Amino acid sequence: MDLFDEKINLSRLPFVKRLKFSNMQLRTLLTLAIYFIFSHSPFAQTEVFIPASTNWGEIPREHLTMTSYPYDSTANALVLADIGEIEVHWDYTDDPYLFRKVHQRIKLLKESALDQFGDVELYYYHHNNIESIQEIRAQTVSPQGRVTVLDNDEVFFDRVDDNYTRVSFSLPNVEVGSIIEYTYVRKSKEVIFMSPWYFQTNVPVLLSEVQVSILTSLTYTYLFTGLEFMDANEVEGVEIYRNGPTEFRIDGSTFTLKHGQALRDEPFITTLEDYGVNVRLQCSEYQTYHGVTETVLSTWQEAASQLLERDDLGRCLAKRSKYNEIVDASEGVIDPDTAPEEIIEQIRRFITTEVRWSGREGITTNVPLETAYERHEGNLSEIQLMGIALLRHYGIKANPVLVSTRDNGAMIEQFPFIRQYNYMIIAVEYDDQFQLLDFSDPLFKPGLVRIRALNHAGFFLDEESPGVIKFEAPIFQDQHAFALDIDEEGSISGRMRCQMTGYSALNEREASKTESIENIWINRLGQAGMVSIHQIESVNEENISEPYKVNASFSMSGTAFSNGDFLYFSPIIYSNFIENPFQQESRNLPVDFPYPFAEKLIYQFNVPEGFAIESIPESITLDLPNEGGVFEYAIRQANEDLVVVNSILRLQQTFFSPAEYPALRDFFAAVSQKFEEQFVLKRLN
Amino acid sequence: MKKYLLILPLLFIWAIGFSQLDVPFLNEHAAEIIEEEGSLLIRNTAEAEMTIKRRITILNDQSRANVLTVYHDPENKILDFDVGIYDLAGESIRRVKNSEIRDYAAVDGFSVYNDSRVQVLELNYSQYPYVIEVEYRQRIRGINFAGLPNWYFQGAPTSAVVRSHFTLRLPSEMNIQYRPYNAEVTPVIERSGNWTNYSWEMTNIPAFERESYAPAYHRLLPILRLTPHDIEVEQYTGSMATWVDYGHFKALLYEGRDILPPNVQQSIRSLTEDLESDSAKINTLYRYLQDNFRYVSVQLGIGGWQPFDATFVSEQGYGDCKALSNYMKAMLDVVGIESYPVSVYAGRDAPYAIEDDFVDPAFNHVILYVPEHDYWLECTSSNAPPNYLGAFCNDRRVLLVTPEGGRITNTPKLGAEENVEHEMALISLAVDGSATITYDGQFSGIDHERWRSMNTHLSSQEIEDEIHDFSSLPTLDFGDSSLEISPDQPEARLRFSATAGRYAARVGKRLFVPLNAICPRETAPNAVQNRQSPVCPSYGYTERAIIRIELPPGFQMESLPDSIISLHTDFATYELRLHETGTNLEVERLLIVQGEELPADRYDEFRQFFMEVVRHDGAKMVLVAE
Repeated sequence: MDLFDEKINLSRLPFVKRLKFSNMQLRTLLTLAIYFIFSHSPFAQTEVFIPASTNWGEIPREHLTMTSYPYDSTANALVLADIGEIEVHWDYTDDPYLFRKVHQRIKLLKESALDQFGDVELYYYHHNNIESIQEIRAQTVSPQGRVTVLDNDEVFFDRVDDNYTRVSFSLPNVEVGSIIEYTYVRKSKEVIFMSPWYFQTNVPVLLSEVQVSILTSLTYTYLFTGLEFMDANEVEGVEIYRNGPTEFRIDGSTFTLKHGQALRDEPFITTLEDYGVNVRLQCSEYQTYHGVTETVLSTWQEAASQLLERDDLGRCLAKRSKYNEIVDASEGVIDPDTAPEEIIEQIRRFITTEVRWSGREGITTNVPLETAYERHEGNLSEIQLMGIALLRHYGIKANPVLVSTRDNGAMIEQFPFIRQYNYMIIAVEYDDQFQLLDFSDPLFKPGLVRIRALNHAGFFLDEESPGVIKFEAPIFQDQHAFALDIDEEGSISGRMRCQMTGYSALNEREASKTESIENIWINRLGQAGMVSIHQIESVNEENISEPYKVNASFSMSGTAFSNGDFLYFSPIIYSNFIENPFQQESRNLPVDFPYPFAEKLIYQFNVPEGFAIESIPESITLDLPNEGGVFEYAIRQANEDLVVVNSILRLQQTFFSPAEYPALRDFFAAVSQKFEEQFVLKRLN
Repeated sequence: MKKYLLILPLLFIWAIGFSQLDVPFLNEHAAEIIEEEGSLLIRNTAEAEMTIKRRITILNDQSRANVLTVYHDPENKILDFDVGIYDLAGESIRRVKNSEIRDYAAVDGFSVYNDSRVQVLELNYSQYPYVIEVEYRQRIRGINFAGLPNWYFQGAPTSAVVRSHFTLRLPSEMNIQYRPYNAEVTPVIERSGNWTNYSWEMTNIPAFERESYAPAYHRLLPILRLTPHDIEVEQYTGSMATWVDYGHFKALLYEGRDILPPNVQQSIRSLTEDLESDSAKINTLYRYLQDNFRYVSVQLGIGGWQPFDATFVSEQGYGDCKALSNYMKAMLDVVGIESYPVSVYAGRDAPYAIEDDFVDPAFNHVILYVPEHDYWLECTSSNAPPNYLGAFCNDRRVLLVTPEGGRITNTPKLGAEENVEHEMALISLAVDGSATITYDGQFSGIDHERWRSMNTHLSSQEIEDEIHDFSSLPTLDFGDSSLEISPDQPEARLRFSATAGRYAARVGKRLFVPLNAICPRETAPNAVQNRQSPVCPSYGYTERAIIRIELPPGFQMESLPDSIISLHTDFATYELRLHETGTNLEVERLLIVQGEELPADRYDEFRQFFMEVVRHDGAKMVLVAE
């Protein structure tokens, strides 16, 4: 959000004022490989009336009396209209302004919609007067057509922090069946990077339309997402996309979606917005006073040059005087005469112990690097840039990589949409190696970056060859070894040695900061309260370059059970995959794991005296198609009293389309079933 | 934006110097060491000023004491706020600048708007331990003056407190009530001129860990509660010497705000004119309130205690708890039924006990009471049955605001008799371990509330997903399901039929059949060594279940658990009986938990009982193919 900075406003660019003639609208239509598939296809249903005009207060009878939306009977509300007018023109101050007028009309179909939509909150970025929200009007129309207008005194403006103001109001007299309607204008100095227009939301949308008019010499690039799996058609210059009842039209600079489906959450996705139709806009060209066309950030090279010229980004690294104090402090701590890996590790340790991350994200700095260093606290970009400064000072090639985090949405790779980036990591190159670093947490060893930042691609801000880089985390393997003794009552006592690397080691180290390892493992080994841990220790809790290990001895009841002469139990008391994470029969969205993983298990147990093995599970091997993953489970009876179970699960593929989902679901179902399978022991007579 | 901050020089005078890690009572639960002086200057019956000086030694990264938060609003301004960071030797690491203090709207998570704000300063230093010294002054006016801040000798269980000193200074003619809790302290009282000074001190308070099933923090932390007698809040004056007085003050704030517009009065009369009984009238008007008004919270200044005018509520169609209760009261007045607003601390973990002889307005919610019919009305819910206070407000001490002043009473308790689940299931097992399930469950009291809430907020699809979560049933394919919610009683009934692909695990020739996948208890209380605090279960309940399992053809029983289990204690009962009848097995289960508090030394017994329940609920029978 730090990008809403006056420095990048067009008003500061030379000669762009006062040129109001041209209305060039170059549209670049690009589609992304994003899935958009419907869960239900009830085509043969009655049409819902969509009026030709959506003027304020002119609500068709059909909408007043409507009680449900035939295409989605579970919806608690229906967006009847979400109309946007996006204009860029000069205001009286001679600066170009973005005016974004929004008119929302929502039908409340169920009780749960009253609070969800009846209380409205809008936020704007007031810092440096970048944004404001004006001309708020709101009203509620009862199913009988009675109108209650929101009193202006009931609209609250509230500075939530130094940057944002919240506007909140409650629609009066809402009840089930009401239609609420509100409109406002967001005025913004930020004309280069606009927020996207999302045509879909978590309830269905009858009509969402945005009209863009740029009455200036500015040219915008448009980028549509979510159209990939719709049927495309062109009629008299109008592009029409269809999928079931949904229709999306591109008519000049008016974009219309009808019958948009509700977006519903599923586990293991990045963010829901990635999966709906939306349009992003970014200024790509403007005309100068002399009629010369200048391009803005239209290539990766230009975007990089501009970002590197910013005082709060690239120029922090421009000369040593910007970070002299940090270099001075590092001298004596960092040994310049060792191997690059060692230098990197020393710098990582230096930065992460000296400077703590404030929790603030973004790609630009708030204070000079030296100030952040003095405070021993910095925002994300301050910390990473300090790291880059030191890395370069000690002769390591290092550059920032801008990332859109998983919750922020997939990165647009076709065009440098700067607005999308909210995170920065570091790329270093040495000895033909390329490695990612993240200094925002002392637990991230070189090669590990925050999981949210693992979104497959980033913008590599290298001066010579900037552009898109792809990255995936390497695969890490955990290994858990258990030795169990079981008595004839079914009580178990055992010892374990667990070893984690990569992201699971990171997760363990993080978890052990807030909870004792004893509590963590009590809850993992069995049902809460049924496990006692006698002794437990962790190894390498601080030493992050080594695997994290936990050794423990414990006892538990309730896992094995004895009925008469039989004793039944399943020895796999701990694995990450005892429960199948994919319970859903089918899936609309792809599965996107942040990183690949592997888990190796070695379990051994003694057959109690006086018992013999009656039956044991079968050994199996399972493969996912295309070598995406493998599961091997093997049982060996070492001698009469000792059984050994070896298992390995490896998942290399991280992205699974909905079509690949059944294979993934069945794979994990089989793993889970195997881990739960019971051994049968019988008392010898 | 207003500037609240002035930097004043640090004027700390500490009893002991730096290098204070040598604290004999330090234990493994401590994340910070605190030395603290607070002084409260009560100027008059409207205004006070609190000064806090605190030295915090942050021991490790588990400590949250490095985050300083001060709530404020226009009436309760922060006058100065000064903070520094030092190392253990007392060397200044740095001064904290004003620009580092962030000022946020204090979002309470439910108000659409309130004027309260919070200043937050998070301080970090990379090497532990380090020392934060903080000093601030704050003006206290308005309802915060009436609900005067109480003094915590220990603010959090992770704090090891070397010394906590509190002084109170007020004009000698003013009266104040004070009472310590979990602390053996008596004040030193001095008179000087027209002022009286009180001071309290506690030293060497060790950090502790809150145990599971422990009582609320107000029974664990040492606290000094304070209440002024005479108060002025905006244009209102009153007394808090007794609950009667405080009730009169509250009534004053409500005065004249319960007059409905004539047309509304008229429609209320016509709504109720054909109704004979008072209870029918109450129910009808309660439904009218639920159907036409919505809960929206707006809290500004005295608006924290004073309701919106009834006329405003009729125009807007919404209000907060005070406003909607007041509106309901106004409607009842029109039909001649008397009712009293009730102040209550809703939800779990009340911050304080409500005492008969000590006034402290530790409330966060308002409901309504109809004395003649002993009726309680929760006016913010759009779907609660009339005369039902659920988990949110049941079984606690509350303040009635009556024409004779305030009166403390108790809300009805929902216990093991009222919170009942009664479930029946028929499970027809197939040879591959799949099953068809026919289920009929009835829920009442607190146990019905989740279903009522789901019925309002979730789609039928989402409710089916929840069914999977509330039991330990495997993934279900639903044939049909119905959830019926009684409009007038705290009751719900859920019925469904479904198939489960993997009800029993088939391994080779065996089928492992869980005896109770419908309502097994799956967790027991954790082991606690050397239990300190009493055992406080959240509430009492009864679970009855009858599960009939039809065995598949071609199998014989390999093994079955004991057929009668019976555990009886004074705090809970568990019975499990198995009846084998030809091709059926019937499982009859009863669990009654009284929900009463037990002394600390009975924790192990309490835990053992539930471990046994978990074990028996997890039992399986094993069938073998013939």
